[in-house]
Amino acid sequence: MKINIRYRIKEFKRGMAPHISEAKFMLRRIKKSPLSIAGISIIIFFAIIAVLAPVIAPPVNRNPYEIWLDGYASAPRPPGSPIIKNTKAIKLGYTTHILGTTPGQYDIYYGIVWGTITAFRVGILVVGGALIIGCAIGILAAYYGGVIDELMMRFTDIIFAFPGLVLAMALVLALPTTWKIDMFFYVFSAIGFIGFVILGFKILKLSSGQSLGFGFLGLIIFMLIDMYVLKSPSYWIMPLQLAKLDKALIALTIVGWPGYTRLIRGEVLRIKQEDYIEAAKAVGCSDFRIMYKHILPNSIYPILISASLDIGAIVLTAAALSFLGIGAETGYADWGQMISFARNYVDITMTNWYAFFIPGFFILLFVLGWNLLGDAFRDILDPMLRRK
Amino acid sequence: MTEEILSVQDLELRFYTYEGVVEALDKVNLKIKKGEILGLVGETGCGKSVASLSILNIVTPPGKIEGGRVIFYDQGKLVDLLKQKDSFLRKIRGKEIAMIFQEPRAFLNPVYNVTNQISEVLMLHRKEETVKKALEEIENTIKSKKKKPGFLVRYDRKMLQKMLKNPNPISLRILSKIPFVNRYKRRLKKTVKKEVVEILREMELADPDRVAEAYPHELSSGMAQRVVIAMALACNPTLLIADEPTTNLDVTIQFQILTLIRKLQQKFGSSILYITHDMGVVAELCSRVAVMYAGVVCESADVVEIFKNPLHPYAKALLESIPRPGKAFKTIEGTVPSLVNPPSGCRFHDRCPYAMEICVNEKPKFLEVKKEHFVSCHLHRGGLK
Amino acid sequence: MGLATFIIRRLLWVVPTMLGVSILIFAVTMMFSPYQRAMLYIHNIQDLRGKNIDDIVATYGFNRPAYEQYLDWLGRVLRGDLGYSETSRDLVLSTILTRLPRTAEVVLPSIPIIVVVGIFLGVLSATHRDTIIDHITRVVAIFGWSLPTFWLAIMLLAIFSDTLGWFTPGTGGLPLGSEANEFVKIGGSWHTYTGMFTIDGLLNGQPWITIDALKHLVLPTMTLTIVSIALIIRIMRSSMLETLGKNYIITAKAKGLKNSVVINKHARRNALIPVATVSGLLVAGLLTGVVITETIFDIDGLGRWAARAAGTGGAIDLPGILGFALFTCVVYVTANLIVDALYAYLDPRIRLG
Repeated sequence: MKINIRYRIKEFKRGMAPHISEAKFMLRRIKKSPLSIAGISIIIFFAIIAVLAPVIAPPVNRNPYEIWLDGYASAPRPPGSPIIKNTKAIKLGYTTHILGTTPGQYDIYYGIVWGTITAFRVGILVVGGALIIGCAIGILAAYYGGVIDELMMRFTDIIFAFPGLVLAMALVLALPTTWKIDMFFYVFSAIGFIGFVILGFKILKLSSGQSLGFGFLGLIIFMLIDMYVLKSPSYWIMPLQLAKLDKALIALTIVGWPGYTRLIRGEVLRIKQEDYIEAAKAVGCSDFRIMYKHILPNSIYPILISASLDIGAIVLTAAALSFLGIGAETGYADWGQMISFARNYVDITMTNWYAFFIPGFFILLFVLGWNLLGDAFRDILDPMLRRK
Repeated sequence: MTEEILSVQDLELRFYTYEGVVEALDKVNLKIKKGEILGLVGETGCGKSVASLSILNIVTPPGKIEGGRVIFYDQGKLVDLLKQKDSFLRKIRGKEIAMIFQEPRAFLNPVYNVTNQISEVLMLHRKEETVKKALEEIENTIKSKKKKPGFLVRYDRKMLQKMLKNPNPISLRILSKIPFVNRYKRRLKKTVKKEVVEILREMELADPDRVAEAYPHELSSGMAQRVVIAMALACNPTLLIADEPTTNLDVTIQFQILTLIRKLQQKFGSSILYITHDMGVVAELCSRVAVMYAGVVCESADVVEIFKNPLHPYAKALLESIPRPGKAFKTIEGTVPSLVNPPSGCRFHDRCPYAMEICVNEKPKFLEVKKEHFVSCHLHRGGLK
Repeated sequence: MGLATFIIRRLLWVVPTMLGVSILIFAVTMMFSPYQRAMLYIHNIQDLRGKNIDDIVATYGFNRPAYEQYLDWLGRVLRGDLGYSETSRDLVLSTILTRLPRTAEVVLPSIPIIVVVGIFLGVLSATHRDTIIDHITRVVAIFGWSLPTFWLAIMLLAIFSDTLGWFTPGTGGLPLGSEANEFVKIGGSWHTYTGMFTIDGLLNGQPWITIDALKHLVLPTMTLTIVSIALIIRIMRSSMLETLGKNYIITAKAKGLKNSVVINKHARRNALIPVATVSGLLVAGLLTGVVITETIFDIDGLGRWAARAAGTGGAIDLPGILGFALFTCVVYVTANLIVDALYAYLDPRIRLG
């Protein structure tokens, strides 16, 4: 038994060796690049704020994402102003409005701190979601090629052409606050998909590509059965609470995945032609294993670079939406939302610059961090790719 | 007596990479005489390609030439190419020394057609001749038409004569950009195109007109390689550097290209530095051979001499490893060392069956051991007695 | 195949794509219940005129099967009837046509600046890799890209308009000062040819209008340029770096060409290919997305109308959104087509399809 474990550990280390040397190489290049150090520092800075949020800015209202108010006056008050009305805040330890108040008397400091968490949430959820969907579709389309590729890419093009901002706005208004997800529908369709794939593979002896297509057929059939024959029974409804911001995030994810599909499709098409893929097929690797072990690790780099840059872009877009009033609701801890008050104070004089400048500056810094990181990573990964 | 046209002496080249300093070339010595074909052989990674790039000083950073001389015989003078300014070297490149490469389609610009790329060389180095030719053609058409030349023809002629007198004045540079005024360029282009087609025909291409119009991706590798050769020989270079031009081609095409190279060499009288790892080609084509290992030239001699009597252990082992029917398959033990941390002393010592203590500590000198037979090995320390 | 054949083949794909898009857009409207959609047509109690909501639904056919409604809508669209937009109190089609020139007037001048300067800086950055020029260019570009548009716009206003007083935002929804605004609104002496004041000014023989418009366009154009130029610089730089590593660059150098020729003739054209793609998408994106800039600089263009139609005010203007979405798709499809044609022109290998 013992020998077995030791052997496995050694094998594991041996398998990881090239990855480790690559990582060491990358680390060295990162240390040499001032831009990436700057980017990483900024992100770490924000991460610390996000983690320490409950400590450095204890929540005053029940929902920590609701910025606490100090009265209802419309004129913003400068940094250092005393807290007048909100006794709860004083009890929690706040002494003054460190960064001032917005028009409407929301504490800016609190908004900035908890807005950090919102920013991370927005970036990671949207980009993560778009990444997963986009890559799944892209890899499948590129690997199997032919009709599947054509259809999927046309579908992708159509979504790509869709105006993102408009869709976000529309979805915010169209989606109900409590989205009743018909779980029965999804599970039923999934059963249909999996069932047909297995059917095709085992009984009809189709190839993996064909059984996948067959599976889609099954998916559609079961969907239709549920809609028209069973008339969508409400056996299992899951209510999902959607904040206004969440709806915007869903919209951004929907419009965001085609970008990744195109990217990864390009990479996969390039890798498909490499000799080692043919070798893997000749040795007898299943399609899935090839996709997972060979294609994915080699195609992931440009995707990661794009993703880190997109986090910044998504945060900007979300901020723009909030600014227009379509993202976070008023009083939510979101940097863009905090600036939306400034719309009515467009003639920025020196007296109330902080209400508008500070949240904007933090948006800029956050996005800058991710952009520096992504850009520096691209520069680092590039010679690595070329070395190969 | 045939003179030397190129002499590389103690050339040192280093690459400053993230993984360390790569000692790519360590005192490389080569000599090429006029009309000679020198074969440069060695395994992949021994530095043959970078040596040839160093001659023209076009090694890409992080590579840097750290020492040595490259003496070239240019129009009666001996110049050290490594000490010259880039503006001087540009006149040498493509004109006196030309290069052809391994994968022809990768070495041709995919967005320009063949005529564009070959005429580039002609217009760069043989502009005067071309302009004169164009003027000649105008004169011929005037004579054949037997009437007075029209205004446009006279205008073209005047502009071309201007070009002859003063190759690149500002006035011409501006005028050549204005659409209608630069019509004289069209005549020039026609002449150049004819020239290109002629050159391609000499390369034994079946349909030179079609090839002239084609883009690199539309050509087969054999055709593309001929195009590359045409581009290199367009200006009659003194020295042609061929970096494994036939390695990627299949055997029949390889034979054709080699025959073509030999024919052209006899016709134009250029010397060739032929880089390869195929000893068969060397035996066929070359008059002298230089063997490289891990950034060092270890032996250089006449081709018959080196096949008959290889002195350096590596050269010996290399020749013995050529597969021959009936003979057992012989290999050289060990692997090529990483040049980031090259072996001390003689770079071959850890694989050499004759290694002595001195081989570990001291680098052997490149000495003439017999007439025109140079070795860099401690076994032959004596030199010419 | 030649360039022409390639373009025709691409054109044939346009129709199915547009159909697909229209279905998708229509699917969005179907997400709203018939009652929600009926509500749009009711402004106040009087409008009901004794009917109840179900009658309204029936009148407009909101409860008919989806495909019927879709075909109906499609038919109307193809005839040019895009409906009536509540937000602009005008037919959708004429809204788009009126507002498009105003958006275009802000976007179009920025495009050449973004592309030309971007390409130049990208090449500069690539050829001086890892030097101080490279680092400065990259940082400046990334910085510009990281700026929230609205923030930058307001900052520019604060600096140039309020403090320095050089460039002021337009008045009355147009990039014109109050004097010019008055002049244009009065009929008779002013004919609207293209809708773009810079051009119309000249066509009307009133060059001062052109100059006035230009003055008011500086800030919005600057905003768009600063935010977008990083994209081009980045793409050009990485593309250029990749191209400079290619083998045919070695050939070019071995031919004895000057370094500037190697870069400008051989490398740049190959490197421009991905830049063309990005530029096309950039133009399309700008034409369809300058909501923030228009809002802040008070220009009554497409972006602002679309934002309001999508519900900034609280209610949704369905025909408006549909019309705008259709317009967006036309723009993107056209942009893609132009990009593909440009692509095929730059790179002969693509023409094989």
